[in-house]
Amino acid sequence: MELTGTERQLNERLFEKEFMPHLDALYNFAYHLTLNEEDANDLVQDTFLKAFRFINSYERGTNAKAWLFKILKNSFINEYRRKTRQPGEVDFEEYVAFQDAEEGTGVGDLDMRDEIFKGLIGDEVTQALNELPVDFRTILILCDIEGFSYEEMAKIIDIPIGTVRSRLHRARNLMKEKLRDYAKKMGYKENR
Amino acid sequence: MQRKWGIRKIAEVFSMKKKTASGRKHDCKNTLEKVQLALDNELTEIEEKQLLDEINNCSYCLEKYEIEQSFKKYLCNKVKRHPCNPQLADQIRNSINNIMDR
Repeated sequence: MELTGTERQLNERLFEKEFMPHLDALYNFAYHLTLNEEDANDLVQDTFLKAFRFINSYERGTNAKAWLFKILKNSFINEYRRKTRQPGEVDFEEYVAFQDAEEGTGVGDLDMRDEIFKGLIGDEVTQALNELPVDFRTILILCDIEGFSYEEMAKIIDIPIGTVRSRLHRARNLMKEKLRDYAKKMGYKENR
Repeated sequence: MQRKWGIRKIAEVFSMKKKTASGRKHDCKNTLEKVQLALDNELTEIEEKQLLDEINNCSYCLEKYEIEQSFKKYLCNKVKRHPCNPQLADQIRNSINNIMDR
């Protein structure tokens, strides 16, 4: 990369000021995608290197966080997904058919204010999240943990806003099912 | 928690329709479709106010809203954030310096 001294300084400053503050959020996302530290580290490094390489296509002061998340998501799909795919994991699309058939399970009424859910510790809830197919995990992290808007998520994942909505709805129902199963192990009884 | 079902609530659930304060028909199904949008901050201020007005006048919708709200908060509070290795930031800076010095 041939840059003059000033260009180099400007790029470094931009990088520190607008990209580096998102390191923790990106690592957390990478970890939830790859489910192991080593791959998460590699994926985040890769993301920052790509961001630096394409720094001229980034418009200063715009949404750096969403831009970086998109790079990370694409790197994951292109380079890591096959490697980290767990045996027995199904594709999102395969899953939808199953999920649609299951839609009437009434998990929508699961109330997290119930004592038994309050009793589930963070590790168990995180485990339940990590057991979801990666597309559902992704949308829940982007929306509920990172607070991205539907429009931002549509850009990051590269899907229409309508799909963001329906995928979120399904992801939440599926997460509730998982939590209900965990709670059942602890003796939770449903009132229906 | 088992809740008692009063006549009003049963009527609400079965008819799914009643008048709102503004005189428009309240439809639980339509209202509940917007709950996810409201909780995800996807409604305009006016839309959100309208929705909250409707929800506050229907105990069935209010309960559903609170259940969804509790779920969103629950995820946000319970899901563990994985902190990154403190050396990662410097590793990234070093890799970038290497690219530039090449």
